[in-house]
Amino acid sequence: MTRDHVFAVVKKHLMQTVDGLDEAQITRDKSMKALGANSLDIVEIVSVSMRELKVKVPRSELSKLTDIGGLVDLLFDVATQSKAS
Amino acid sequence: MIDIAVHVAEIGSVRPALVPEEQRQAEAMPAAAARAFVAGRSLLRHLVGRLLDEDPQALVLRERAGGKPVLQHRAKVAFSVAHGGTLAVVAISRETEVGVDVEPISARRRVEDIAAAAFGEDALAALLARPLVERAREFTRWWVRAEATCKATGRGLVIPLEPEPPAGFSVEHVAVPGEHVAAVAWTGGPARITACTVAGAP
Repeated sequence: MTRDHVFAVVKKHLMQTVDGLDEAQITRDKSMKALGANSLDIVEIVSVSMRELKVKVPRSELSKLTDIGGLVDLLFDVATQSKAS
Repeated sequence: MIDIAVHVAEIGSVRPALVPEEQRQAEAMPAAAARAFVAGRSLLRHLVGRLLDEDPQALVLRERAGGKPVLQHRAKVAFSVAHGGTLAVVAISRETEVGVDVEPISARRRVEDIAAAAFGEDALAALLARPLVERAREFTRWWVRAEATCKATGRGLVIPLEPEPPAGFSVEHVAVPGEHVAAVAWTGGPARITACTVAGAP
């Protein structure tokens, strides 16, 4: 698994959840809220990304996310840590 | 008894009343999300402006940590805004902090995944015990209650969520049109909640 793969998964679910979103608009420095996702959208995108990547992030970490890059890094870090252990 | 007014409007019916910064935020969003944001923020400005007898676009709003909009200058009015599906909703009180949320009931939502991530495994088990046809509605009811409560606290969404409010907070569902669910939350004791549908632009 690479960070780019994680980003691709998150982008896919973001575009499936937020109508009318163009892939070119999705960059790591943006927040999902700025792209038009509401809180429920965001939790859905995170939860289905976790399922696809077979990653379980502690629920307490989810509230700290501020942008897409932060989510990608968190999913990647948890995935690689669980592979290492 | 605490008075809380909940105003509901169809997104397409609200007359825009944004300031330049809000317009820039809207322009960065996809069209549907932008329309919802414009409607919610404009409805808020119209209603609070009318309440305070001020020009809606002269109100200076800022966002607290957690995203809750508040008036820059102290005024004895608390409010919360939400949009979901085809509706924008604003809750206002001069006596207590309020939070509001509205969501459409959607068969597209992967409610089991969201329930597990946001509410936990016990909640997921309770949801899975429900017939499939009831799960989307039941989950959405949990969600709007939880999010309205988070908004009333001013802290924003904090996961894990609880379907019931903590001590000192109350939450009730509000009847809204169409296949939507809405809830309003507040601090303090019993409240008289007045819900009205805003027909046309306020």
